[in-house]
Amino acid sequence: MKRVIFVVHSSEIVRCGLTLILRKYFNIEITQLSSVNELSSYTHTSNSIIILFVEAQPLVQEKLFLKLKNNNDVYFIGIDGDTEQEQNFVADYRIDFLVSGLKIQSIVSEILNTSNHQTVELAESSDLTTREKDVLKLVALGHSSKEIADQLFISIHTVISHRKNLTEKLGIKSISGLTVYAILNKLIDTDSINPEDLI
Amino acid sequence: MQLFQSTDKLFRIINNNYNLLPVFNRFGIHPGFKDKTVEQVCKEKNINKDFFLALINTYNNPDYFPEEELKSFSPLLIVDYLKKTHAYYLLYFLPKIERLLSKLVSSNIETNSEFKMIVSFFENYKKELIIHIKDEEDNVFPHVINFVQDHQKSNIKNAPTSFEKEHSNVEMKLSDLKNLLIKYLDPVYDNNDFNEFVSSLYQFEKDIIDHARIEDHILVSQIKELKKLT
Repeated sequence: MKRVIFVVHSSEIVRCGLTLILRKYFNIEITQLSSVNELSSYTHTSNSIIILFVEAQPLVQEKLFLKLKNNNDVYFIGIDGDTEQEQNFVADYRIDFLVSGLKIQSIVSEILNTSNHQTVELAESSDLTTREKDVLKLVALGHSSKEIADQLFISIHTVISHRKNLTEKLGIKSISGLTVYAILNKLIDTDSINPEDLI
Repeated sequence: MQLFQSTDKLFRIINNNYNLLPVFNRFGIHPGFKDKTVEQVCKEKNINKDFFLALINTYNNPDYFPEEELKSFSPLLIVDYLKKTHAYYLLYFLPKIERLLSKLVSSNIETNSEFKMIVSFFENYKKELIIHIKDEEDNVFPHVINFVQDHQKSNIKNAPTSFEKEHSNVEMKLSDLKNLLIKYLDPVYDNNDFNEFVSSLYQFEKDIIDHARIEDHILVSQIKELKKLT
């Protein structure tokens, strides 16, 4: 998972200072923004661990945060200033201007450690089962899932699930790509058919 | 990730990411920058500065996409940029990839049928991509231009409001091609020719993903807005 840090604060001194401290400890991409509104340009981020240092103020941009949360692991660290509104701010962690660099380091490390545990690595193996190979052969020869189900005497749902698994294992999604794979691995007999007709 | 600003010098931007050179070219900006800033060159060449900045920043950072800002630019600007990108693909990039592929094929120690499969796969991919590009050029862009410039309302109604299916197909096959080459093909070729071919595919993929992002999220919603006006 990609890791990014956003430092969102209206004061440039705070932004730059915090960034400097973070750079001392972490080699992570840091983006400085002067207001939460600017986060709207980053809502296409996905599959990342996002650490947001945000000036503690009521969450006017809740929707935006939710959008980020949909596709990412998001952690909020509220930066307390002197305002009264900050009590309504909901954050995973809070810091204030007197915080030490060490404390910041330990918060970020903690986040990175927890989120590491949650990341489930997909088993990377391109060993196909015999059944998956059977399905692959028929896909490569241009048969539909329904036809494959009939030929192999299995249900169409099973065929679809085999197709999904083999696509994930091989890292190849298109039918013509799977056909090329089948030919490269001699799963189909190219003596009887012209392989170029299949792609 | 840093965002480029109007006070940034052009040569610094290219120093930062040389992949932006073709994007500069699409705006008619060419090297020999001297110490000119974005602001200066845009004024000189009568380019919409904010549009230029939004596009280079979007291109530079895959996570950065100022959707609202991009939508606020004239559809004519967007279409013009997309057309120039298409021309870049058709006249330069696809022929280049083809050239590298045929160089790779001729470097093969033995003529093997496996490699022929890769070539046919690429040929088919290229055909599909060209059909898709031509379709946009013939059936989408002219309607948008006619509507905005001459208020011709009749044809915009027929303009499609989604390209996502075609785009994901194009992206999927490009990624399949890379995986087949890197994971499954026996290395019976010249390494340098292979590396050159594969890196051109990666570069092409990056460009095309950025391009599709602008079409899917910006052009499509602008077309929807135009349709409402009819």
